[in-house]
Amino acid sequence: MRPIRLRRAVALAAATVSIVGLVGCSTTTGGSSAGGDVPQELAVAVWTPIENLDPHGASAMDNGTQVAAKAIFSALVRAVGKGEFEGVLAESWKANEDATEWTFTLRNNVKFSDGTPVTSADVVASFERILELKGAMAGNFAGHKAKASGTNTVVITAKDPDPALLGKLITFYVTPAAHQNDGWTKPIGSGPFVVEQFTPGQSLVLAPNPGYWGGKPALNRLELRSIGEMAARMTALKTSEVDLTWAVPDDQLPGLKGNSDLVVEKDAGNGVITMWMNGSGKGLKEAAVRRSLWQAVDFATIIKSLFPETGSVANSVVTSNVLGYAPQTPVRYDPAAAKKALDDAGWDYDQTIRVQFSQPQFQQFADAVASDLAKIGVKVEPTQKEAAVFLQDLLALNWDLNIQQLGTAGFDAATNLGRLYTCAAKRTGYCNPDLDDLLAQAGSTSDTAKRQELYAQANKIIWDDAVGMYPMFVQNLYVRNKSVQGLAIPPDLTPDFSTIRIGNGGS
Amino acid sequence: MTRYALRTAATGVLIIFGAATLVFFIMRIAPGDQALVLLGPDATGAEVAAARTRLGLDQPLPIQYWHYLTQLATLDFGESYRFGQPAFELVLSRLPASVELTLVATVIAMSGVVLGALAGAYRGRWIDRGISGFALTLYSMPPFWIGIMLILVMALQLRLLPSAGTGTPAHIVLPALTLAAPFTALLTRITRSSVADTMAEPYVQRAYAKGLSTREVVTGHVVRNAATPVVTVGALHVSTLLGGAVIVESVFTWPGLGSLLVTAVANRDYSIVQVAVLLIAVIVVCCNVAADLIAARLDPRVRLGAGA
Amino acid sequence: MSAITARPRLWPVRLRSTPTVAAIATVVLVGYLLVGLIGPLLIAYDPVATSVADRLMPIGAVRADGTVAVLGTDGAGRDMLGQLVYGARTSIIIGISVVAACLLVGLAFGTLAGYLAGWTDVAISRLIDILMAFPGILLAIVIAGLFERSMLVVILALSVAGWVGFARLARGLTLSLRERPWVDAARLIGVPTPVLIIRHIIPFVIGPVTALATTEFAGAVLSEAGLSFLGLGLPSGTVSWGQVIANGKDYLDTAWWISALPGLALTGLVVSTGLLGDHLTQRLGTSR
Repeated sequence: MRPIRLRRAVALAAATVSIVGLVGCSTTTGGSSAGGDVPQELAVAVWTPIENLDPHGASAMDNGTQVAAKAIFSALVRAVGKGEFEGVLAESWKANEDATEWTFTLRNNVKFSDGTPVTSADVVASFERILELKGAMAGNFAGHKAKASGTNTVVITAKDPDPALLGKLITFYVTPAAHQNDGWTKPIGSGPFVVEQFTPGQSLVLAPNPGYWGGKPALNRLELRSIGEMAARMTALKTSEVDLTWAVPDDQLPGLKGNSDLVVEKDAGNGVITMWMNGSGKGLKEAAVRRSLWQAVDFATIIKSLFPETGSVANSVVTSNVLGYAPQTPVRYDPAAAKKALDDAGWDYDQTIRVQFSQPQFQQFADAVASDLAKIGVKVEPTQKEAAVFLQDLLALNWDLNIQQLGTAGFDAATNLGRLYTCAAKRTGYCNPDLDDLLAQAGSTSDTAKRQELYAQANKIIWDDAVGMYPMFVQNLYVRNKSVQGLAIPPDLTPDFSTIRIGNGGS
Repeated sequence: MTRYALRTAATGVLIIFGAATLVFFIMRIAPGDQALVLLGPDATGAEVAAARTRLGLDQPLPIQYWHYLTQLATLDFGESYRFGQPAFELVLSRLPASVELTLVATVIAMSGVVLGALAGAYRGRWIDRGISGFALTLYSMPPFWIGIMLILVMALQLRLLPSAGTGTPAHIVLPALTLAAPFTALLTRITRSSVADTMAEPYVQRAYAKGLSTREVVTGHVVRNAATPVVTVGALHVSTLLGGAVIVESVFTWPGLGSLLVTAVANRDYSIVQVAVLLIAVIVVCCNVAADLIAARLDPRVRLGAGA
Repeated sequence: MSAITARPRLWPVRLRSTPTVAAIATVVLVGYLLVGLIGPLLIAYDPVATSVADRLMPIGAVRADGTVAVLGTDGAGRDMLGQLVYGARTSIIIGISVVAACLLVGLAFGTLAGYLAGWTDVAISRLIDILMAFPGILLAIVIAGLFERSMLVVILALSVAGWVGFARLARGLTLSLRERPWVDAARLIGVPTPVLIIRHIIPFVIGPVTALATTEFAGAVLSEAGLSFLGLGLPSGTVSWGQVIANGKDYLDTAWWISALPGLALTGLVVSTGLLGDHLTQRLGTSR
């Protein structure tokens, strides 16, 4: 038994070595646009592991799967700005009056990497697969149906009006109807790249798709390596084992600064650190109490110390690149006023506020918040919970203060405010019929300007009633070797590799 | 021999069955709903209920257990919900990396046998004290900390070796050294006491009386006889080595069984946890059998099947 | 062991001067105990009180408020000395609790199996076989990873497989003890089994078991650190050396002391426990 295993292990090691050797010696170049004789090869360190290439399944919303899906598949539309979209597979689209019926016309000339054309049947099959799998994405399309009409028209109908449908569709990737039940280790798509080799949780090697409708990408080889461990990811960057990564924490920048080959860039950011205070919980029913607690934390200092690069003091429940953004009155740090207001409201200083969070990066943040509240005598107990337990407690409202980073999918407040803050959603412990009205109105009109206005009002109510603390907008750091050119920094942590080319190290 | 084979097979099956049962019940009584993890926070109550039915989680525990056992008996380990692939294949695909790491670590740890033999042969002298002290210290250090300190010195300060990942042979050096550290210390201690005990045997004393040097005595008379306990106790600790690998793999992002298992536990990926645990149980059983066979070859006094 | 040393021999075997070493180890251990017990009373350290302006300060640096961070600060500006002291307490509490739990369970199961023999023995022995074969830390990882973080869960996770060592030892000793004349005599005059076990068996088992307890203590301390290192162990409000080492991993390049110091403290504790354990094993133990 042992000798066989040993041999296999040695063979494996040898194979890995030879792959590395190939990369080092290869002199293939990209198209004429690349110029020079620089190998058009890029290795990227992905921060969450790519475990599954199925864009419809359980891990479809993981960052790793999303990044891979953007390279391999095409969606119907993509976001280009606040409430603005651009066709990808869809050439044009229109909605009916109350946004219950959306009609998409597909581009004619798009083919899957196996040569078959992309038709409405593929779109419908993919849509139905999402609904059938009931994975993480299915919740977006409850009560929706897709129907083909002709080979290049698809009609998506919604039970309730869905003006924010386009925003939800940017992560809906179309796969061939004929291959829905194949394994997903080498899926066929119509994106800029095709899968060459996939090792789940470790590495995804991609080659350019020569038939890509947007033109063959310059890169000849793209490897997405899953490196979850922070220190390892930074080391790989410093040693040029990888040339691009993102979601780099502030604390790692000093270690990278000395390296003149590395370029640091920031995205526009879409995340808001959202700290709901359970309005149905003990002592937290009054908006005045919640505001005072918010006021008692010196977020400006915390942000400057812990997140000097990626954090900025928030002034809204959603970021400024989201439809529904409206700047609010900043909450000023004033522990004395906070203490007085809490005294007036009859705060029970023996009560302990149970703070829950799941991701380790919130540890220092949560401790700092607890430390500030302790200064005015409010007891706080931060608990990092294991992901599954966190989720269960989150939904059961088994917390007093919940720390999460929330992004707004599709850059439309419908997926954030509209989804989380209604009384029926039961997510924050807060319930306000006026807010429900506003959100319902905003959810049933397709007039973008009107929706912006309604969501802005909702934003104000949520902010002023301090449903939660909204201390910080989060931006993400991208670090690349300067030879990596043409990268457009996306706001949603899923870069588009089709525009990248490798230049001379000097430029 | 037949008696031995039967006994071993029975114990092996029992260990594997026990491990499977233990893992099953621990995972079922643990908090955190697999259906919820699968669907995310936006699922409705009805969807969660449907998912629970689909996963068979709504049935009484004994029935779930029975299903689990019948599936195991037919070698059907189910699919990982996160990877969307058969759990067994996934776990197997991670096995070579773990085996590679464990084997290299074992080879490194063999240095402990040499050190232990030296210490045992010169028991009580400065070389023994030096080696024993070294072994005790090494055994007392948390392996993950050794790993981090190695990264600090070898990778970050001296920039000699890569700190994580796989690819070149250089990548395996630090994880293997880390994993080997406690095992080396253990082998040193076992060998030392075994050699020292053997040194006190009358026939060894006689060899001295014949005027042989310590080196001749040790190589000629002691090594073979002291080897049996080293092999037996060493094999017993293969499971410690496998357990250590779980932590070491996490430190160095080594893509083995251990790192897969740790993430699977966090994700409530039951099928992977079950297969991984079973596979480890099978490996442990195999190692124990191998150790028995080797011990029997080394020492004719050891008869297979004898003793309780 | 003593029989061998008493024999005149040609090859000079000198015993280590263990009493001195053991004395030193005991002093160090008592030092750790004192730090763990009294330290928290002397050094005010609140794991939740962070001072983000004073983060990542090197050893001996002066904070904004003029105080000296003797051993530096961590990524949230918390005092490293305080973390070491409170970590000592955590390690000692966990170590002692795990050993106590394992000792009780192991002793009970072991003596019962050894004394009653028959099916009880078979069942318990097979259970011991299963747990011995299986990597204990793996079981602990699965348990600690699945349940909510708390000290109780960690103690439980480490005890599930920890008791078998005691049980095996106690069973072996009891098997030989039950044939002794005084046990037979007690059985004949009708002493009830529980009383018999407690009066006539346990006192003879306790010595070797105590020696084993030191080894188990060291193992529990190391395993707890390992769990906390993986982020599976204690709640974040409880300081654990393993957790501090893990926190420091992201700052290895810029603030090595965060990871290095708790590891040294841990090693010191385990080494002195090990030395004492070796001594006790020689004095009280049996070769297993």
